[in-house]
Amino acid sequence: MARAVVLFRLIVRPMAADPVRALLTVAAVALGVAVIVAVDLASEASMGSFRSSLESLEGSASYEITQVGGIPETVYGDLVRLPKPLAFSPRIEGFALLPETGEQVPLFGVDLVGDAMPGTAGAMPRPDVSELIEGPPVWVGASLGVSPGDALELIAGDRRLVLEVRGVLDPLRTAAGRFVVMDIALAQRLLGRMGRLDRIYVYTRGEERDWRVVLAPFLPPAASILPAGTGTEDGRRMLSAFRWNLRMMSYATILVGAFLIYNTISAYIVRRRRQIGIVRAVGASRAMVQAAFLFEGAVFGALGVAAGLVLGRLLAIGAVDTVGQTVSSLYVSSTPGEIALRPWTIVIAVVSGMGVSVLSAWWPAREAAGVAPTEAMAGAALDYNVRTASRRSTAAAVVLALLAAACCLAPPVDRIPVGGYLALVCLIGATAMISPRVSLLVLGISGRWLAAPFGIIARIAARGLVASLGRTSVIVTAMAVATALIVGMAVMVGSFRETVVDWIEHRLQADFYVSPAGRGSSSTMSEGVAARLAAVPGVIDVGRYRTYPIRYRAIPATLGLADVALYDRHSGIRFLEGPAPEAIWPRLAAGDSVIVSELFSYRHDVHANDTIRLPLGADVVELHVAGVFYDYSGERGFVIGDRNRLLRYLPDPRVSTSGVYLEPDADFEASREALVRAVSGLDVVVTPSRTLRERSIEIFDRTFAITYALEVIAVLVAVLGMAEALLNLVFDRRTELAQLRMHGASMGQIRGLILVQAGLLGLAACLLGLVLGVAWSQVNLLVIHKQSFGWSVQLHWPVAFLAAALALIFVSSVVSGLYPARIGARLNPVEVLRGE
Amino acid sequence: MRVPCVAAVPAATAVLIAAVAAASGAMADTAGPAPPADTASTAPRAGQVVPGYPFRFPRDHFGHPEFESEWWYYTGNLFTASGRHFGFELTFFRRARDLAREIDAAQPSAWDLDQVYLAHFTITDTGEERFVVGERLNRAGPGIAGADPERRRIWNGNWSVEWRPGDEARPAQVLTAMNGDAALHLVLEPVKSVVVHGREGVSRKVADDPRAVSHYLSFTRMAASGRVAIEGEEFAVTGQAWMDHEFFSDYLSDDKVGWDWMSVQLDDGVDLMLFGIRDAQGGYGPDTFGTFVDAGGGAHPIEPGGVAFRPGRRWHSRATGAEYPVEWQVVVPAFDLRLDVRPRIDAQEVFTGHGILPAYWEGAVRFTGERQGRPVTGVGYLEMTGYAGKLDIGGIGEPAPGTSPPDP
Repeated sequence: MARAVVLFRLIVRPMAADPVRALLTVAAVALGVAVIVAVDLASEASMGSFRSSLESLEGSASYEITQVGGIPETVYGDLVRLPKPLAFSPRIEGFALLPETGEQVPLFGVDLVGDAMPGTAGAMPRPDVSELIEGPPVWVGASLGVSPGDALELIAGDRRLVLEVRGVLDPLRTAAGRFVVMDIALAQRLLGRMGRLDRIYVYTRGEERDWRVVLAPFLPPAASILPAGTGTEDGRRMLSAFRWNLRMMSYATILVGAFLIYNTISAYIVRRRRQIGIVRAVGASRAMVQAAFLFEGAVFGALGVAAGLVLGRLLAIGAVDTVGQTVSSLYVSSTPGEIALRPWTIVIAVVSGMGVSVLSAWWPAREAAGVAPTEAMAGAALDYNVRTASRRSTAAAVVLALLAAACCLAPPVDRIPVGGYLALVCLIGATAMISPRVSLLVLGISGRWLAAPFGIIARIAARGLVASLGRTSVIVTAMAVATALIVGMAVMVGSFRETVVDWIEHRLQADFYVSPAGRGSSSTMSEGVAARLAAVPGVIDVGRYRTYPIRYRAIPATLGLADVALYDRHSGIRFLEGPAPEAIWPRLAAGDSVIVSELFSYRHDVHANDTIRLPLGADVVELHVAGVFYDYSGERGFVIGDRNRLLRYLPDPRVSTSGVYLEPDADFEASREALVRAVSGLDVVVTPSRTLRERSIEIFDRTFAITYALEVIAVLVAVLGMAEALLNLVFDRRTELAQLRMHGASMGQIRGLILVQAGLLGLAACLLGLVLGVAWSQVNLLVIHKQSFGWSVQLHWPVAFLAAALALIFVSSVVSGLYPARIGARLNPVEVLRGE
Repeated sequence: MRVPCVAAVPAATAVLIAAVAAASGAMADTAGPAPPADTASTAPRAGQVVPGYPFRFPRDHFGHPEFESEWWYYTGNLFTASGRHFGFELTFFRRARDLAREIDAAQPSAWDLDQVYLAHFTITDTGEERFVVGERLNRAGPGIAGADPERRRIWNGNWSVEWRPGDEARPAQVLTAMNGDAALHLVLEPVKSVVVHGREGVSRKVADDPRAVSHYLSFTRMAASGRVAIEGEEFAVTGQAWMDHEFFSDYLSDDKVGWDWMSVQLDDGVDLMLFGIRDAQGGYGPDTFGTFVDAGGGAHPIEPGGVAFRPGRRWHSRATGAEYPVEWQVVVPAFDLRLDVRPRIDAQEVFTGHGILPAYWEGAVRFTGERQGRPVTGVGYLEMTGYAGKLDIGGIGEPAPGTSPPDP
């Protein structure tokens, strides 16, 4: 009963009396939780489709066999004849472009005759053989939205054709999956994989043993046999670093919310010291008081989580698009799956929302428990004793900053830069600790300066803030963290963008790039295309570039076969290790030398003059590393060698991309038309490198689009907090304000006073945020990015953007003072003073 | 002679084997050597059964991709040292068809569906009254299935027959097959040389239809030894096996519903191949044929209508609803022979539920009777087709009950 009274007097009544502030706090938590939920849902949904398309046709396979450049298909014949209780299923894998929607979907070629027998692969279509001859038909994933009997037009490799849809496959019974399945013979032709298989699945029957040992003697030395699903696992790991980055940003948002809850509850306690004293005087224990305020934090948390889940689900709809586009432009062709609220997402939301709320209520609640019963009689709205600007907190800030530096030295865990993230947390802690001192400094200096233009009001404003430093510094911290998020991201993204733009400028040296219309990493076109291009007048060189997905020490990478002879004249590759490029090219052309990208070098600790062993075609080849080059094209490391040399190991002459170089004075438009004419009839695309450049930048910007959204939400949360803090100030200082009015201050002056306070808080926050943000960006670039992506980024200051962002934050902080200023100005001084 | 497959083929056409074609009659086995020039051709399938066909061995024991249909049937009766009986059937079917290569004729793929192979593998375990059936369907592909004279091998996945080099008149053949529940490994050594059925190398199926013909070869008596495994238990066995090899190109015959065929290995050294083609009324008319192989290996054709088939007790298949006459009496007056036919077990219906071929009954049997007044006994195999519902000879219309898999 007593508990109920305490709860009612201390919590329920004040909350009910002032629902606006309670709502602001709940809104702050809700926004934080919503961001976490949205990011989690979006990244999960964008992963979903990737998972289903590959795995869906895998069935219960135990192993998968792959080989750089494809497995010679005769190996398949050898395997199926082995007198072992095993079954096998071959795959041709590639991508098809659906011209109707412009969508790129995975294309699988499967043995629709052999696998039609039950007991082998999972969910295969089982057509009659005659159907396959008369068709040829295709089967499609369930979410492609076509029905049996429809005609499906698709472009694969450099061909375009119309096939009849015979059935819809939904192997995982998820109504998901956007892919096309056809018979292996047709897929081989379309994708130019004659004589080769991309994957062989192995199904074991009964007998448990390591069949890899048994099968190895029947495979080419360069083939690898791994537990099934390894390929999907690679993709998943690739995406996880990306998802971690997003997650971390969403957690930063809720951290901003944490400062707000701390602030709100502290403010309540100050205002309710009298009531606290009363309930203590009538017998409530310290523990009861503390529990009451913790309960309040929990209520904010619970309401925030509930609202945040709903809001997050809504935000996810927008976020899925953005994240999905990033995932497909950077990693794999995938289309978002269903947005499903998983239990795990709810757990994360509850834990982060409730946890942050209760934790941030902890200190204020302890403070409240410390109120002596006699204080209730003191009457005055004393600010509680602020020791925050003590030496101790400054020392703590220094220690935390040093700790942050130490964290930066830690190596990544499973390619997730845990140390970097910890450093960010430490930096935020340091900011919180140093915030009162910085605020004092700002207020001290600005109080003096502002006296001239704004008169006595400015001084009073600054002093008023100093007097309530305990709470204002918290709000400054919250605002500073939000600002730092923007500054940090701006510097990071700005530097990164500049670096990438510069790299693209250098890398794309050709005037046009020609590639198969159904362009996936694995689409190729016949060698004849290059010959046709070379015959166009005005063309001086045509480069042929072919890529193969490879695996080096179990990590996926890309092998590129390039016409190195052309690099002599046109290369835009820049090296970070190794001799001058002029010395590198002849080496590549002369022997088994390759160059590797920075990422590859970083991941495998491979440097210029080292030797790497790669399985190529039928052999395992020793390759000398001639140099390490800058590359920002993605998540995979690159190994590039001379086409003519490496064709000895990988004799497939098909080409992934051709670069076309024009004579310096050639007419661009005329050449373009001539090139398009030269390849007419083939489904290949001629792209000017200018377009390619623009498109790359576009992809880059789209990748970071969601981070802008997160930053905006963080600032929004902080501005909400600012408004709330100023409302508190107005409430606490209402006597003071009333006295000012009685002494002749106009309503306008009171309004000005509060707006100046808002501005001062904004200023302190901007300063602190700028410092923290710069530190943040460095951690991001030097630790987090390096560890998760292996890129070195040249630092670039986006000065204009920063100035604009800081100005905007400052202005929003002033704007957040408008409503409190109105309330303050409208106080009836007579009533207020009588009430006291 | 299972040929009358003539009849069966159309039905099968609707389904299986129906497969494929062979613009290039070549065995699409890229790893193997080029097929003989006379079989590799981009012209329409040229394979026609002609009198005086010049058989060349061992070449003609293997594939003839220029013919539309071809099969190799191995059947036999096996015994353990303690006298426990097993029967086996291992059959390789090949079917060719012309491809509509609308995609790219210039780029043949090993996976083209021009040659499709079906295989059946059964084990009859008389002691436990078990009958295990396995089925395989594959395209020739890159060495997945084939019948290759260079490699001396007929195979479908890891079911295979390897022909050992050496005595080309009586080449030893090694059978290997494994399925989920059963496995077989046998060495077969011909006791008699190969028999060419019919006259002038042509085996006739229907008395009044000169197109209903095939080239039909048999090893009528082979000594078998090896191992049989069933449901985890393995047995060393010896016994007698029979091999049929036929190839021909399709024709239609619309008034026949099925056929009955048996291989007979008598203990006095005589072997017989007997078959009759049934019409819709269940009668044979003049369409019964056969070959009498004397103890020395001499082959003597039985004239059309020269065999009397008298069906006896029927067995009802619960899987397909078919009623198979599992007991028979056959009489061959020209050779003064009368035999009673009894199955080792009743349930020897080959039904896989895949609907690739219509269900048929093919099982181990015993013979008792009289030849030239003296009592004889024997072992062999009995095949009955067209009982699993009304077989649609034209290959058009509804598949017969028992040809489609049950609805899941």
